[in-house]
Amino acid sequence: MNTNTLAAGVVGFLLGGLTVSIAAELEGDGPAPTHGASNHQSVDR
Amino acid sequence: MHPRNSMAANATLHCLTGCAIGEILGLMIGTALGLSNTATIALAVGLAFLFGYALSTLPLIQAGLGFFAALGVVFAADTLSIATMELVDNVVMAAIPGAMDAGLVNPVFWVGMMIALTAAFIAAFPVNRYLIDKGKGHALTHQYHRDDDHPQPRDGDAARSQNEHHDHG
Repeated sequence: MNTNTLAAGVVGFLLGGLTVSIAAELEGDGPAPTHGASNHQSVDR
Repeated sequence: MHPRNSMAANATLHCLTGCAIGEILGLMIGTALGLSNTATIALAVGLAFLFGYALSTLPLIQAGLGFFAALGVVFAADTLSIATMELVDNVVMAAIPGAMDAGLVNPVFWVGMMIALTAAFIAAFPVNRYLIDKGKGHALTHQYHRDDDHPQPRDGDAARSQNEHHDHG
């Protein structure tokens, strides 16, 4: 196998790992936003 | 780029690819199993040498060299380069705060790996350039490569005979 292909695979793997870890980090920060629903609490006036 | 710099860059990338595969695998296994830093580094270094040598040996075997002859050429050509990379890679990784203790789902681990491997490339490049200037390092294996995809002995028996008389130290 071509070295450049393997090197590209290694770089891709590192970037993939970074992406997944950042996603996991963000996921752990709080509840994920949901479509059509607001996290803002309503305030009675 | 100067042809020798280009050759050294290719040699360094070639070494780094094998090293990186072993290093990443070792650090992932060590981190996932919660091994100590020393055990993790030892595992990563062992796997880096294994994959580094394997990546260089296989094309030579495909080019028609015997297993032990290929291994002899690769030991002579790659050992210093891989050792430099491993030293720098692990020192940088250990120096980055929290990188060794970061789990696989921690971005610090992956950023640390990228920084450490980049530093390893920068450190190993002049080593490979020096070895090539001396007619050692990848200059030893280069004679068996027509290109990376189709390695061929440049001059079958002559190269083999020359190889047998090489100082592998």
